[in-house]
Amino acid sequence: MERINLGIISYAHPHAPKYAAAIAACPWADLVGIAGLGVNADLAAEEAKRYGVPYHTDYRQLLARDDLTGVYVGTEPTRHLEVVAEAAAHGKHVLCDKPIALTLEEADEIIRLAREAGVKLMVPFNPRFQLPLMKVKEALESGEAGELISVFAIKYGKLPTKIPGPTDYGWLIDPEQAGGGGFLDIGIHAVDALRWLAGSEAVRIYAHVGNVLYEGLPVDDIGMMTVEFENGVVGALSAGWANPDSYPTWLDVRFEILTTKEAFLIDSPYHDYWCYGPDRAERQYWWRRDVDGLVNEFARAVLDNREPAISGEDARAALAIALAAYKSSVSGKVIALEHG
Amino acid sequence: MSERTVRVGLIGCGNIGAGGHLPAYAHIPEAELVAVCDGVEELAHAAAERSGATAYTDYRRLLEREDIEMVDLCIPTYLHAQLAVEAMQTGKHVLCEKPMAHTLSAADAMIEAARKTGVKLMIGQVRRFDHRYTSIREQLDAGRVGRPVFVRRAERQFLPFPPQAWQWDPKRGGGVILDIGVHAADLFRWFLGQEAVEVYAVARSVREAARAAGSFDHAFITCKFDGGGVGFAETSWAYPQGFGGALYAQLDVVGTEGKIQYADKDTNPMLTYTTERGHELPRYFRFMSTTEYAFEEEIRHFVRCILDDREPAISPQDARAALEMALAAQRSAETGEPVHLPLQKGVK
Repeated sequence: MERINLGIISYAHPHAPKYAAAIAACPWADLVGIAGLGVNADLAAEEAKRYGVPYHTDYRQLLARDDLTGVYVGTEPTRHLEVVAEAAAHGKHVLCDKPIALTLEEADEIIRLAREAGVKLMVPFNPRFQLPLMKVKEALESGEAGELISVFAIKYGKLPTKIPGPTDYGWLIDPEQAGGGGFLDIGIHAVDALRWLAGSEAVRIYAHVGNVLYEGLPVDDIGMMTVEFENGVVGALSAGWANPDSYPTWLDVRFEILTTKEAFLIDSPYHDYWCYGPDRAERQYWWRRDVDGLVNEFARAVLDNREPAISGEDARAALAIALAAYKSSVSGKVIALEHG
Repeated sequence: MSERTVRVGLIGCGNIGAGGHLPAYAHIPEAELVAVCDGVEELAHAAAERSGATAYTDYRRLLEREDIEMVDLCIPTYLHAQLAVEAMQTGKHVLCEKPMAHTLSAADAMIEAARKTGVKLMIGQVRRFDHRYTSIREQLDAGRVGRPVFVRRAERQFLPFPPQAWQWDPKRGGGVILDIGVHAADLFRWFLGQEAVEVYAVARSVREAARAAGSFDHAFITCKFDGGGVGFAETSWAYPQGFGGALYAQLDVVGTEGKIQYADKDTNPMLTYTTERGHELPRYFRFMSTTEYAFEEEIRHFVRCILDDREPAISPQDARAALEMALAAQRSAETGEPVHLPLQKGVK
């Protein structure tokens, strides 16, 4: 089998269009169908037309197709369990957007269903496929950079309801559907990156997460966390919807890393240039291949019948850290995580 | 300009004293540096030679001089209170380097001496005179980013001092949490305009000098404030040798209507290219952390306060609050638990 056939379920997640493009461009996969589910079904239908693939109003029809190998799931996290259960029942592999779920129990159930059905489960965390971070990870693994001491991650974006266009991303500020706000939405990528770079499990977490920027927002908009890993590495994270409308990019992402031998200051893991319009300047990315990297990894893991680089267990661990951060913020205490 | 000048004695001719403060007096016509003192004779004489002041190796001889109106203390932290109190008891106004002291009771003794003697006491929280940060404070005051709610700060360097230097010693200097933590703490208070209620810190001893001394040289500090504001800082002396001077500081102030983002590297207007070292961001100032102009502004401000009989812009209580936060961070790093303020009940 040289190529696999992938479909997309739901455009509820703002990432969905990027995954459609990455799947269409993937050398080991073809985009063969799109299903609308929940919000932004119009966009899903439009994209199906654009890519010349069948559109399914019922995602179960897509999953029932014999020619389908796997799916990218871009629903709200509250629907992940239902959709993964259906995909697993049909023997389809799953690339499930983050967070894997809103509770650890649901995450465990998702992992169990995929394992029992023998399908691959991967959760895409972008930093793992960003070139500067891949370089740091390599330098740590080869020993060139010595021992990791700490990572300070900064991850700011704009309020997702400000994403231009007719799309509706309101669920991201609904605590019932999103499980949290800016800290969880944008921070969980970096939470995974901290754990991945540390190469160790989180044991102590202290955080402060709150709604301080947007009055009346029903979820948090910014948060900060200090996390200690079993091997002594310290992770710090500041994340949220802190970028005002005027900010020249949607994202402000920084990773500041100290080892016993080297320091790495990564100011935007993307590769960009400036474009000066009549009334505002914008940074444009000419290399943002992290989504391509994630899709390629998923396709290769399926083709090679191996565990994907980011497993369901990895996604569960990131969720556990994020949930501990919220717990710490409410209690004002350090939250200890135990690992069997 | 006032007709008379303030005669000053500088005590401590080490890194900050001789490198930061001493040269500033040449630019402050209202002040006259007439005496310099250091326990190390060569340092005192070198400073005297550079400034034309009289050299002393015993600070008591300097304090005996009745013509001296102000002393400038650039000595190790654990000596601040003792010398400041003695100086105030001889009726001299005191400008003292940060951190205010090594304990809260030492800081309180300084405040009490200032109250009893009626002289002026100011702690050199020099960031408040640094043009970068005064400019940012002006933007905040003008409401350019709304109400500031979150401050992220990084102060990082390779501390170039030998293992026996007092900065590494937990008793004499207090390590990076006390020495640099007071800068971060003061910046948080100054920008947020609130009082800290809880402090948490995770710290490490990375370099051999810190491990040998039993002090921390790398720390992450969180400060929660009574008005809901939060400050989050990385302070470090553990960055590799060769870590550029232009990479020292970072600051993000997130407000309800915008964000201020400052980094030394972004504001550095020149790259140099050499055969030997490749390319680098040059250092413009002797110290990575502070411009020479900031020391000059700080000293000038205190001298003007003496001449005009005004209260300094930074009160001893401000410096005490920053110290209390840093001490709380130290305690938190040692115990692993958040520490609530105030540290001692009944002490304001």
